[in-house]
Amino acid sequence: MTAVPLRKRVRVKTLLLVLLCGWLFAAHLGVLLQYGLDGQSASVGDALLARNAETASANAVTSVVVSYRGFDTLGEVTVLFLAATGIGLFFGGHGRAESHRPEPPMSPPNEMMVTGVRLLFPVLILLGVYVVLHGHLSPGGGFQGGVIIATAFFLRMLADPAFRLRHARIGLLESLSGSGFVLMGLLGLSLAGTATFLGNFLPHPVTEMGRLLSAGVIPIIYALVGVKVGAEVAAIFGDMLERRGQQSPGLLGDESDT
Amino acid sequence: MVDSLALAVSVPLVGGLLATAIPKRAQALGLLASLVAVIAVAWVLVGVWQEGSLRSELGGWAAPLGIALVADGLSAALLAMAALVALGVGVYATGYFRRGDAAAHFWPLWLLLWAALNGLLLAADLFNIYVTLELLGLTAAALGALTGSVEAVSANLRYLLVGLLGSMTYLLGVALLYTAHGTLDLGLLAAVIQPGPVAASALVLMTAGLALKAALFPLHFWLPPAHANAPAPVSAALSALVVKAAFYLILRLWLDVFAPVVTPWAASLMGLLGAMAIIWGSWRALRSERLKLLAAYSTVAQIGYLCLFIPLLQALPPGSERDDLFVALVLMALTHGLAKAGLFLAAGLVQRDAGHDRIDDLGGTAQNMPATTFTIALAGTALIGLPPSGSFIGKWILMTSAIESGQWWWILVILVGTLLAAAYVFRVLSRAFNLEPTPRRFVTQARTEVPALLLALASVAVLGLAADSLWRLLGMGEGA
Repeated sequence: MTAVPLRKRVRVKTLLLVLLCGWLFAAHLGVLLQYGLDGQSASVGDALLARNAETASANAVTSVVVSYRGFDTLGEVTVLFLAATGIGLFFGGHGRAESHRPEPPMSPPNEMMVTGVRLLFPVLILLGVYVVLHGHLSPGGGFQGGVIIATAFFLRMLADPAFRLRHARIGLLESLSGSGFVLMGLLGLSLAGTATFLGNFLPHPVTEMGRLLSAGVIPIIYALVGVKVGAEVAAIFGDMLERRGQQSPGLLGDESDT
Repeated sequence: MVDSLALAVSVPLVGGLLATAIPKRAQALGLLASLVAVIAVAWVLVGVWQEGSLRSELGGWAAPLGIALVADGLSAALLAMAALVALGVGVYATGYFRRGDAAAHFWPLWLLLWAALNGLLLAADLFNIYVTLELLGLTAAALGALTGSVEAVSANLRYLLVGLLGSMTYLLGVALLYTAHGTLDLGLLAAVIQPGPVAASALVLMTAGLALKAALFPLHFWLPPAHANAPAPVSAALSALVVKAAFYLILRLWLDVFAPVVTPWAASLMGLLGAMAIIWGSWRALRSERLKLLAAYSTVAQIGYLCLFIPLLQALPPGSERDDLFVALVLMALTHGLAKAGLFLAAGLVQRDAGHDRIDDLGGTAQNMPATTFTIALAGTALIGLPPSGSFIGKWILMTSAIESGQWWWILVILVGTLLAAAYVFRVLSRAFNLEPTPRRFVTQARTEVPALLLALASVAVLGLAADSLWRLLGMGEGA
């Protein structure tokens, strides 16, 4: 293998990879075309809509995410948590001292930015909270709302270099909201009425459907998901921004040259 | 009845989250969570022992809408093995990590890995399996890079990317199946699946993705550097559990879900890959210069043995012989899990004591650390397949079935692999013993040496001599 020149080897590999991808694409297309665009899997959607009233959640997507497949959501939130932890380890591994803040490496943000963010910040927070709390009523929910809240903090970090996230507090938020999610599941498991993990143990009559306080445990879980996603995404933004702040001036000089 | 299946997943998960919240108490919280999780797993085991199989529908939603957790004999046996290894690794880690920082990062990730593993072993839903697989891969790569050295980070970055590619490929297969059949539940899918292009493509894609994660030859290239450069408790968990989890899924798919789709030709291909893995992995283990690298290559070979079972299981008709062969497969997997965990833990001790793990310079290890050397020898006994270890029984039944189903050529591979395994184990031992035998104390650090010793001992003595109960556990699971 070492006798073959490197360039030639890479080319053959690339060609094989392209051929493999092409074959995969053709195979998928050939297989899937038989089923049309709304083939048999539409039956799942129908069954889901027919039974949606049982969750008393007006938004059927939320029924899937929090109720039917709540266990998957728990896993996905944990994946996001791991990603945030990994990025934190990767970027902030050495000597992250919150007490002595490094000099702002770039010129301070301009007036437009500062004023704009000052206006936008409360509105974004409000929108995020609204999207989280109305997850069971209208399109949206914990994931979307959490990201909106994190974006608000991201803008704040861009506009105000003195503004720092407290990593300890963010970690506590992440962990408590995650534990809260599992706790909700365990409550469903231990209470006699449901006796299954992630069971909806609060009353959720269909007549209340469409109100803010309805669908039992679903809004509570979605709010926890919102807090968790918001904290995690904000932590990722924060880690990346701080890393940028710690970069050597030489690197930044190179950037301005190009 | 309170549902023990959900507890087996959620206890380590809560433990991991709490350990993140309170880093100063991470170790105490981690040990506590480990103990509770072991109790939960024991509860599952008792339930499966009595009832044959357990099923719980999460949130009270039945299969097409919701997600179910299912435990049968196979998953209960692997859960129990994982719990034993996890307990050993946990106790070992309290003595291994001396710096506070590494321990604070180790515990949350480790408990999340355990939760993902339990979730994967209990999952009965293709997409839920994908989520747990992703979680498992992420935690495993993060744990492997815990030392922060350049080799460890680069090896585990490659592991992460390979793992992502593997899960993506798996997900492509799941998408095909979901489009065609509109369900993700394993039981429902097994009832409706038919041989055809969709099932064949899905099987190939999912198997390829999982084979990448299980380090099946020739997709094993990422494993040796990743496992050899991780901290010792992590390598033990990666080699004993994480690789095995991906193989468990292959087994589930080939034997349960895709049983009508699998052709003898496809099963033989798996066997062939397994045979090549045995020869190549054992050879590289024999030639490797470092003890942990040897253990990692030996894992590649042992996954090969497990693959040899697939063509034989496919060829034999349902009956007591096939059941025996299936139990032998589980016995091999359990033995390897315990033995390899013990070997990696012992190798970590050798590395810490000597400052290196070059096999040629191991002289005096037997005098300095008698218990650790004994552990390596015990684990080696199980890897070779000497009686009374579990893998002796496993290999014996494997060879008998190979003769009975007329596929005698696999026996040659098993014999060559066993000889090579004996060679690489005795190579280590001969180096370790090559000074005057003047051992001072048998156990030098109880907290780290005893878990390793017990795991290796369990693989040799307990699994070999008490293999009968495994028949009952799995036999009940099949009958119900």
